[in-house]
Amino acid sequence: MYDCRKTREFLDLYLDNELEAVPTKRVAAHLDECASCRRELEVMRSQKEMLARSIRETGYDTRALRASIEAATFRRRLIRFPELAFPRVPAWAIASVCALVIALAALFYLPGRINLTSANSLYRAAAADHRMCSAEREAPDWIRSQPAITEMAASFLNNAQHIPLLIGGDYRLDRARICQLNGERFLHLVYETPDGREASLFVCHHVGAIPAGERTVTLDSHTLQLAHASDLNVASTLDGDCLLIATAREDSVATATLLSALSA
Amino acid sequence: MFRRISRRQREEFETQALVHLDALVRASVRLCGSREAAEDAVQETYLQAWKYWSTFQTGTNCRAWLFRILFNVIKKKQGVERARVAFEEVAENVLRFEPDRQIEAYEVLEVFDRLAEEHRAVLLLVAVEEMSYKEAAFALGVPVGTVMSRLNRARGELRRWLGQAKCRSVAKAAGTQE
Repeated sequence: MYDCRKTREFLDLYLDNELEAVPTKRVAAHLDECASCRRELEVMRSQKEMLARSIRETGYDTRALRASIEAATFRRRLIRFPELAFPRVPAWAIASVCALVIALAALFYLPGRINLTSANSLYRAAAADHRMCSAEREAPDWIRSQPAITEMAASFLNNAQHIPLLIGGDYRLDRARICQLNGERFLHLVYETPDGREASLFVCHHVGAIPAGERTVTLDSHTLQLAHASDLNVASTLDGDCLLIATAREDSVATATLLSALSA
Repeated sequence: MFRRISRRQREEFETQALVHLDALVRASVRLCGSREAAEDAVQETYLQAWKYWSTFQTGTNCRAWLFRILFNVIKKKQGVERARVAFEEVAENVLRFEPDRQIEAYEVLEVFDRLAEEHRAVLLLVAVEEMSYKEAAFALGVPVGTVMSRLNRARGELRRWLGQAKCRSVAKAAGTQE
């Protein structure tokens, strides 16, 4: 058991429950015996409670401050990082959108760069243009005089090419115009036989515009056989109609190939 | 790179930090001297707490952590001289008490506000907020031994001042009766 002096040393700790078990027992034992120390403890306890009560019970309305803090913390962070102001988007959704954008970009950009244009779609476009030859034969954009056609071809093909005026013996150059196939400009030459059959020759200045690789294409239930020679693609239908698609690189030598393709 | 603000973090901050708002305001008023300065300090405390919320470990003592920030904020904000709590403000708060406790509350607050800042701080933590010495030491950024010695001195001073106040009250009461 402690004496008064020792007990008073520990009264603060005893009051605040900070005293360890053994000293607590000894202080408690002394307090049981000593009225003076008990009074001292009561004074200290009373003062502590009075202070706590006086300060705790002094109420402040903190609602406005709380709102202000919430605005300054949560909202400030939202402004600083604008993406957080929107509903949270899952990572997989962001990844999907990115993949879609890349795929679309590749679809539109890469074909022109690495020559992935589908031959099928090119021939389909050429066939559609060929079929319009007869229907639009009176259209004003056709050039019909041979000198004008030669001049336009020379201009379109950088004056380096010879276009055949007569192919296959029967097919005579009748008219020409500039058309677009799959976004690429082609010189569309139409040859006619005396009995009214027509053959179309599409010539393009850009080598990459004519894809290679496909050898058969089905158009309107006709199977087109595609011959491929260097930058020249020749398609002929089984019923004798034909499409010729060539690039400007083809010179008069290539005409022989055209002729042989037609005669085949 | 960015700290994502999740609903969970926000809820944690509200339930662990914002619940101590009243306690911080009480303490801040007693330390800053004016309601306005006290609220500024508390707001700054919460801004800093939010800024470093990711470093705060859930389960540790958030209240002591907030008080520690508050004391640092007040230390930085305050000049050499502390503004005293306006008499009207004390009176206004005291008037909310029951009539028989108004005098007691006014005397206690008046005496308390005259204590040295470090004594007020330690009394606020231990006597009012009922923190352990260890928590108080963390909040004040001092060793536990310092908390004990400051507490002892603060209590002695408070008792002395309160005793004098009582004497004045008694003398005043006696003078009135005469």
